Amino acid sequence: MRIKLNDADYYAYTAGHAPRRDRDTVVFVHGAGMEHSVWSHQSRYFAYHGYNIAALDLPGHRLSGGELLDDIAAMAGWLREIIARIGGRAFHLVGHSMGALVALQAAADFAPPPLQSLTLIGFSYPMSVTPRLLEAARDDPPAAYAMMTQWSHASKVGGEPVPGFWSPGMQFSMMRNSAPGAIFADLSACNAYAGGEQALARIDCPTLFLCGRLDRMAPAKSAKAHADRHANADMVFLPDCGHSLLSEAPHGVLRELTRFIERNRSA
Amino acid sequence: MAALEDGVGGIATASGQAALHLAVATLMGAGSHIVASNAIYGGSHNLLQYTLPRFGIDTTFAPPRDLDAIAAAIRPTTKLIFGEVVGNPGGDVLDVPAVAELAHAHGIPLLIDSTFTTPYLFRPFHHGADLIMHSATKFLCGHGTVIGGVLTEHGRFDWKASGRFDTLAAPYCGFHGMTFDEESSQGAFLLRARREGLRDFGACMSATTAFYILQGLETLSIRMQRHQENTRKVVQFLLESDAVADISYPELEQHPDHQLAQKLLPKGAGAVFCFTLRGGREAGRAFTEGLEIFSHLANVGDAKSLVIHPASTTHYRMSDDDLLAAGINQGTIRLSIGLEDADDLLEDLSRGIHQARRVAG
Ligand SMILES: Cc1ncc(COP(=O)(O)O)c(C=O)c1O
Repeated sequence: MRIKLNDADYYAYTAGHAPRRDRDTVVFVHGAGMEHSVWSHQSRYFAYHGYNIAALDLPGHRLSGGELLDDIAAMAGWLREIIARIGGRAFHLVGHSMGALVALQAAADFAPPPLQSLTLIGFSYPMSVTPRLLEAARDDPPAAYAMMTQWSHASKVGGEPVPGFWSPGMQFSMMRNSAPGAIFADLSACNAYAGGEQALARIDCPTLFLCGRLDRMAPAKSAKAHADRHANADMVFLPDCGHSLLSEAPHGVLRELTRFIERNRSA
Repeated sequence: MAALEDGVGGIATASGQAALHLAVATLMGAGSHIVASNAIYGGSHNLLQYTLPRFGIDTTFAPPRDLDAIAAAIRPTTKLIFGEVVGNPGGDVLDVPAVAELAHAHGIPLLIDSTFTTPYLFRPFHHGADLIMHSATKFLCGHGTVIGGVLTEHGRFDWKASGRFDTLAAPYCGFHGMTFDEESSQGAFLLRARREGLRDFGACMSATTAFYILQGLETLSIRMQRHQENTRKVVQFLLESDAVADISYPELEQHPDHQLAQKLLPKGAGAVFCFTLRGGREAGRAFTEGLEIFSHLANVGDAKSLVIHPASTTHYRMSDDDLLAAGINQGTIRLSIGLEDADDLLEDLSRGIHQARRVAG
């Protein structure tokens, strides 16, 4: 679906289903250099199991218009406005990597209708980006794509869980097809984000921290430390996968998401 | 295979022909058009020239070296440009980067049949191709034991921006109204090929076949090195024989695509090539029958060396004129060089040449 906001036109993947007011809406927010289809092994399922879904393209990404944003708070502000236009009975926010920061910040400032749950996948805070990667993102984006693809995957060649798709190839292609400047804007936003502690302290809805045990981009121990301090948190580690767990362990991610979101469904 | 080709994914099919058919069926329907190189495998030529027109899909053939002819053949309904990296019988090398640029300027994807080169010798995605097909029956399997095909997608082609691909950029009633290029921005083609073509036509690969091909892939690099080394020795040997009138191998300086081959195929131009014996059909037949190590087979890419004499076998019914039009002489022989000891191969070829000389007088 297309969503108009402040003269720009944004895209949300809804699996072809128009949102209904009597359903909970699951909102998916992608990570740096990615886009809505990074969720294709999870988002569609919810659309066929009683939920509205919106897997967004952030401003300036893939099918969304608007300018690239290089600030998590600005992305979160945009997200809250978009969610208000999608509608639904209640909301579940799901973010991956940079998208987890955006979802977290949006959740901290959430205004009614009610936020039922928050899921932070491949989350760490701070999400500092090594200078080498940041420089590559600015000066030599293909080198940055290659580094991120390699560091994000724990799995070896072969034995892909999704028939016919090679997760590193998909991730690299997604970044290669991203708008000029997108990877640098996104990584800069991750690197500069300083509101995480405050935002986490303000979250009172059930929160799932879901990590790849072998994540090298956003080490699982960072998420664990935050989860331990959070009153209403679930901490789940998936084995044998890294930062690209959405495609490295699609079934495990979907299983945990459905378990958690079903439990926190409104009414 | 997706990893070897540097693509986003792949689909294993029942044969190389099934891979080509799946690619075409996924991209287009009646009223569509293809531009293809005229130096392609005979089975592919048949599919495009005779079979697909019955389903409303027409093909214009163009010489792979003639970019102007390829450009001139493009129509508003053209949905695909198709060619082989090294074509038979002349060993024509397709200027993949140039053809890709031409295709993309028209919003058309380029499909490369990379069967003879394999990802070891050439990686078409690095040179602008959008889709790659293989007959895995050949070098990928490597032992002539099973039939299979593979289709891979690069992920860069923008199906929506092209405006030519409703099958990928508009909702498909046959699968819950899915719009493939929104569902999978990077692998829309593969997704539709699997959800529709593999499901409806059913030309999928059996698990047992996949096992054999995967096992073959594990040794692809060292086999290709040996195929290439042996081929160079055989080419050199034939070059020095006065029974041989002509050899079409792109690594030779006299080959019209020598320079292009040096640029695109630095590791080698592969192990399949044709040469022409003096003495016509009879010499060709005697040569083939005189060989003991080479197997007399129409396949290529086996661990074993293979030989075929088109004028007395695959093209037996063609007149001499028709043969010539297809670039085949009466004395043309096609070899697929295997992994045997090179000296044994040269000795065997001497035997064949001896027999050929006897009938040629
Ligand atoms: C270049 C080329 N492409 C495609 C094919 C067709 O492959 P298959 O025999 O696996 O259907 C062949 C087979 O001879 C071939 O040589």
